[in-house]
Amino acid sequence: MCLLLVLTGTCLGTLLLALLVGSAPLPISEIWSALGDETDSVTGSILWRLRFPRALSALAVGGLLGVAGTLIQVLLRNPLGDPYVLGVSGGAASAALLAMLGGLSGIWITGSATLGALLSTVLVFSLSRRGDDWAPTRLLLTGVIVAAGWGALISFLLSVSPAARIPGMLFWLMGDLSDAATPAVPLLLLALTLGAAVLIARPLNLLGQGEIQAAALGVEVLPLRTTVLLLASTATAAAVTIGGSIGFVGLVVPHMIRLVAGSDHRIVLPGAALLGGALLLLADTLARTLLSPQQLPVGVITALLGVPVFLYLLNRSTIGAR
Amino acid sequence: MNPQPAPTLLTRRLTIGIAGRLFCRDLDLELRPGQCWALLGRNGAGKTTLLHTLAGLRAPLSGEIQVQGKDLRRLRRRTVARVLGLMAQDSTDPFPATVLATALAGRHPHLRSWQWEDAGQIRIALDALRVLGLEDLAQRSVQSLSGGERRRLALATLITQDPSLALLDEPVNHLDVQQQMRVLRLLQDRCRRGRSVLMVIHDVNLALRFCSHWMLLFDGGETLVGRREDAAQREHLERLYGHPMLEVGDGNRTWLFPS
Repeated sequence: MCLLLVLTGTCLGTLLLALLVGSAPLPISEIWSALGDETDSVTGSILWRLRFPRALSALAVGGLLGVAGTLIQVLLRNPLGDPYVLGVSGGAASAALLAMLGGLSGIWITGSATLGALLSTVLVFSLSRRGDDWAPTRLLLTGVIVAAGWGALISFLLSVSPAARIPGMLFWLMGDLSDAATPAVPLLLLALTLGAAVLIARPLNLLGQGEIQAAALGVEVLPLRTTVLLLASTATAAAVTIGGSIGFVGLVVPHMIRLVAGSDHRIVLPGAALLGGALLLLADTLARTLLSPQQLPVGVITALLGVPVFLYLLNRSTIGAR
Repeated sequence: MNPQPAPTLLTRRLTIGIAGRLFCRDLDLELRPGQCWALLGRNGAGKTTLLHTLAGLRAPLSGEIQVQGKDLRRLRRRTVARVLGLMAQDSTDPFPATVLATALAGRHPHLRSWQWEDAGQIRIALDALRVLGLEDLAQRSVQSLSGGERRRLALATLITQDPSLALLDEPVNHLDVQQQMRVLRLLQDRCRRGRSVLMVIHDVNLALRFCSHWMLLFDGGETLVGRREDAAQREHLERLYGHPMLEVGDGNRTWLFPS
């Protein structure tokens, strides 16, 4: 509980930081005075039309990735699981690139990405299904192979695309929040996913110990796993559609929370949402300020932060020791 | 009215098999409160499969299983878990939960889904850890336990769950002699207090000493079920394991060893 308060504070802190810094630095006093007026001044405009929606989107997308990563790790009973193992990001990216290649723009690209993410989820769902059950290993392998297939398709699309379109495409593939101007949708989705996930958190703790143990302790395993898979893929699809393939947040964040708070998912899930949000918001703030006025893809920053953190955690923990 | 309560577990013409291999055929079993059952058989004879089927975790090929007089298939898992507990052959812990939290998982079927474990539930789990000699490890991570400690923790989870019938898959596996005695006395004690136990066990002499009933699972699906005095015969064991046995006695008790 204490941890969740600290993390909420961290989220608010990073939010304030994100509002303060940028190519036009805003002193805290100006933010204070701009709180009242909506759009009249330049400061108000930068604040309310640019930084605030983008910051909220980053919080929401990071939260979605944190929750999705936690769920996938329980589902696969593998702490190295990642929301993208279901091939969702590959599906979304392929569809978005196809749309770009076809000359579409704006909402059409977003729509295609959503469709691609859902298509990939359904594909992995049905291919890894045997009878009415999914074995975690089968699900993992199917996801990896489908993702490899999307990877090949993406390379193909990039190689046949006109050179002028490639930078836009690459930017999208590496994750990018600069177009994320409508935070209401991801925030709502995050609230719904997190709420549903916390409701099934205690059965999830048992599922982590294996299906036999969970069933023996009174968990209806199959409905639970189906719910988890649906929640995780919806959250991932939403995150990918809004921000592209932002790596490492979904992988590293659940780990960091478990390291501090243990494995009770009633704490881990909200913790992962808060930390994921704070981390992605911090990364996004860095992405738009490090080489300002040039903006870096946020996925580059999360990878640069995530790789050393993950290697460090892997090195000092017992994962994979057996 | 029936003066005798329904048996905790009852099977009628239960037939179990996987992939064309028959593990047991037309098994009729009646398990009542206070009984301690040993399940013996060769490696691969289907003991674990039988145990999981009895726990309702896999479907039999045919036949019927009743839990306290009700059809197992019609019961919700939560209801079943308050009557039947299972200690599986091994445990995997991909995530770093504490020993106490792992034992506390046994309270799951007794709690409503929104309920948090209160002081009373925690006391039950701590008591279970204490009788298994794990109280000093309560705040340790499960991932740091030795094989024997992890076995005892699995049993502590089962004791915390407190089912009427405990199904145990090799409960004394990985345990030293002192811990074997501790665990078997604990299970025997539960049976004296009206609970019941069915355990897969390979040590014939421990089964002779602690179990009131035996079930032998022969290759090919034949079973022999009965009170220990009737089932624990040398010739049955020789047929079961395909190895000659030696009977040693001190006039009071008998031991059986592979010759």
